[in-house]
Amino acid sequence: MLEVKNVVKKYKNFRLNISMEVPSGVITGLLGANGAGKSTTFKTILGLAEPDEGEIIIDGKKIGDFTNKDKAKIGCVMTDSFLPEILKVKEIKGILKASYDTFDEEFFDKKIAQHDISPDKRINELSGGMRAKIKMITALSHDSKLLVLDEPTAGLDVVSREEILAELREYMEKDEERSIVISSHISSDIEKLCDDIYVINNGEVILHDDTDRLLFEYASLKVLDEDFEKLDKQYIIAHRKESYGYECLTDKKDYYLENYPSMVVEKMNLDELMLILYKGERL
Amino acid sequence: MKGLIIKDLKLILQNKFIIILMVLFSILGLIFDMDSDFMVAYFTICCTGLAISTCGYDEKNNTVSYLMTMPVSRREYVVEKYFFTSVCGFIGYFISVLIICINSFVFKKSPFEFTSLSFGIFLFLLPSLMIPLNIKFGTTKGRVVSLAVAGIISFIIAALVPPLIMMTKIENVEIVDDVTIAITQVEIGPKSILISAGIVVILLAIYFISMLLSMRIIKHKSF
Repeated sequence: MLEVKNVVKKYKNFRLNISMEVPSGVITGLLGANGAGKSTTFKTILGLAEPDEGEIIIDGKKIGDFTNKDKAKIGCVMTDSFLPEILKVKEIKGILKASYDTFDEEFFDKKIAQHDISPDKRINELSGGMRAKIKMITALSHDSKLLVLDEPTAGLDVVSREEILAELREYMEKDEERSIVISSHISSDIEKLCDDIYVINNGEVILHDDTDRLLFEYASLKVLDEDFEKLDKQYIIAHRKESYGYECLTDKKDYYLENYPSMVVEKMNLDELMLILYKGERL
Repeated sequence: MKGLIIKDLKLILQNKFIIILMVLFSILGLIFDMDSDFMVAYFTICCTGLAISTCGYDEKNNTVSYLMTMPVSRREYVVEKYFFTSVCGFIGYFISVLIICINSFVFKKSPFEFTSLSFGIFLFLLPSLMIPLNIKFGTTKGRVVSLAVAGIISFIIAALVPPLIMMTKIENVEIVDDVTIAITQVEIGPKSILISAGIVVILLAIYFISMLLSMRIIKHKSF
């Protein structure tokens, strides 16, 4: 569905150099610290920033050759950008109806009613949660094939976040050809939702794997100073110095469990994994 | 394009105070036979300005960036802005001309002043100047730059016109006088019509060059 091929985007103090692929029927997550390049990646995918090198292909077509009809197949949520917030929900609906041939008015009405969003309220009168939901409903309401979601759950409470994730699951269930690429600071959201995850830092992909593998095959090894030198490092991705010795990140948990039975091997969540990737020394 | 027009229409309707003020001036204009120059200039500038103010709303929530993800091309965004601004400006111009026509021909108050029609230049000049600057620099910086540009243009005119008049007088060419007459004289003659048409053509050329410039600016803009 989406191919980002060797895309380079240069700014004054930042360089994005990224390749990624999002097949049909897959939800891909993008994890990274602030300023890692997530939003720049999304902007290049959406054609908002022209790459200096490389190409972006969506549904077999280069983004540069996109017509309005092609653009209608992409739904997006961006943290800092939406239709004018001074307008009422029903006015937003009017704009969408006039802009998208595929706009599903019934779906839009059903969803705003389901989430208790009044059509007569201005967007800037809605709570943060409601605002995030209306952005999401907008992205879902025109039968898009690809959703590009930059921090759609940022700043929301757990209930609102769960409701948004439920909407995304419902979207994916409708059609096997649909895909989502999503970024979030909240790694538990990514963990629950995504099939695979890209971790980026300083504009580059530093890790890509299936979510299941990341959660069940990756692990943290607690290694004492004296054991660290002797440790087989062929499956060590990164390590960092700790008070007791070294914490090492491996993608072959079972190998170390079998070969180093006395070693402490702990499962990691995505936050812990990110921390060692960001703070540790990569091998 | 239709979605953009609806958006801009909804946005200018947010300025209820200015719209009420315009309705009030229309009524006052009819009752008190207000100065026709003021009426045409006020309505034209107000309506054009209202339409251009939608650029500010677009900038506020990074709406332009969002619009570019919708089925809207960068070129369409620019064309719609010029089209919408011109239509709004023309509506203001038409209302004001209608009011002074009613005063002159129906109520037989003051005579119809053709010179007032010349304020229609704002229909072309305001969007030509403001839209590319707003797209390039944003509304806040764009306003500052537009003031600077207006200052530079005024300075150039002030510096060039007196020597030009002197030069035309020396060479016994009456073109500057003819332009002045075309703008200021009440009588309509073939010469003044020709010169007025020339001015309209120049204004249209500026308008389309400005539109092309805006398209060029937005084409390479990163959002």
